[in-house]
Amino acid sequence: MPLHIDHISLASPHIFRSADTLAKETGLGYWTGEWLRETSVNIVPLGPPGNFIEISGFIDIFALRTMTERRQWLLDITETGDHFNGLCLGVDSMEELEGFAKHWKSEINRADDPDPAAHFQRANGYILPMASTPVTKRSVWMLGLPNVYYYPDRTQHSSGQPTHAIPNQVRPTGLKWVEVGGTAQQMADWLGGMHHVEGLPLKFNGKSLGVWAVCVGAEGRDDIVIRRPAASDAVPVSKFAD
Amino acid sequence: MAAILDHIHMGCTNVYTTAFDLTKTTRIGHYDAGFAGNITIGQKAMPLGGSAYIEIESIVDPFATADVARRPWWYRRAAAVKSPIFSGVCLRVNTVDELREIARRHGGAIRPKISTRTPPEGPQVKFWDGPYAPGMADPWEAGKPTWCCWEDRLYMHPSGQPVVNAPGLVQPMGVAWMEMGGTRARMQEWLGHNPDDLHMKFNGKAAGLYAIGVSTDAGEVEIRRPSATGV
Repeated sequence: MPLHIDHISLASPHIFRSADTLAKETGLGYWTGEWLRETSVNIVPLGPPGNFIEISGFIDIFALRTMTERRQWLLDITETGDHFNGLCLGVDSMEELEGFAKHWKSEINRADDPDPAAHFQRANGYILPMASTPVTKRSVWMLGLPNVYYYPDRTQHSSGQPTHAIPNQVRPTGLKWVEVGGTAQQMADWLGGMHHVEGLPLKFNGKSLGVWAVCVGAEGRDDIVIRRPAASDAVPVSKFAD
Repeated sequence: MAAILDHIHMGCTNVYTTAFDLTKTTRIGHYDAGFAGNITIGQKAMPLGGSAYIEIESIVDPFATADVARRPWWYRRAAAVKSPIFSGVCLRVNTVDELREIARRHGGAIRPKISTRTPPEGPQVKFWDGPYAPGMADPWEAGKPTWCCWEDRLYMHPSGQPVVNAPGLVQPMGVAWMEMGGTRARMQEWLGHNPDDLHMKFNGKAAGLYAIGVSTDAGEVEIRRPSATGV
């Protein structure tokens, strides 16, 4: 696969309630139990070829006694409810990832960092190796821009793990499109060429940057559209222009 | 009929690391139990065999609990001691009538609002508990067990649900003993029956739970944490 959408992050003030609400709203199942330091994600698989929504939020508010810009951002964008806060693209090799790192004149968050706390961990002891770029002092998500991931071990990809069996569950058949703010040209400028944008199932709505909606195919029923405001609707990206 | 052990509450600041560390050290599995109460609580459950389980809870909603006074007392104590704590012991009776009688004997009633939990699988599970009275301190704060009666979904009891499959897990076969503070006489007075029925032993410290022994197919496992009454 060339550059593709890997997953979409949905920031939540209460990941259990949000996952339960989304499951009731859409019939999409989710699985739980993956965490990274003071945050955790409930994962909504979207079907082949392997995409997912991660419902992410704080699960350890004790950590918030030490505030950082990122933690404050997450609080600010979830104070009024769920907001899409990240578009996460994917590539299939380290070479491709290095290409994007080079384009952004950046480094790579390495998948082989020996510190378990630097990775998502699962209740069965599995530590998810995941490399990404760019490496910046401030996440590009806060600017409404996507980053890029590479999974050395895709067999344990989050999109392929079994979900809890929810009532009236539907089977997702794949990501159809993602509605984002801004323009195709803005995305092309960020990714390094319109050819990258043309390969992605993106719809541009001209609003502030970030994800505004996700459309998922579903077996035996109409497509499911999950619409939530982008994080930039709660906290303008201009706040982080410096 | 004497009450039996239903669950042991473990309060903490992070249910993920607490449950993971507990499984890592005991090899007893756990699973995600969803969320409970007034939307502030996230929960993991660790079945212990013998129809009992450990309920691991923490706050997960930074907004609902921005007012520190809204945070549960056990959360504040776990945060203060920087460790998961044993917050309380909950016993189980079979009927609401039994629960009502026990609550009345302790000068209270059944808590008017049923306790609910929404598991990831969907339908809520509910139980009544007591003793409760307006203004009455939670008996757990004084190290005293409480009682509960599950609504009509005992077949979905947390002790009987599958755990996350992890390498090397043991099979828990029941709580062999509970190390309590206080004295046998005081506990017998509170329970209304012999604490031996619950395999309690007493260490003479402040009332509360200090440790449990869990029988497993690989031998007995001891779980020891600070007691909520001692912090």
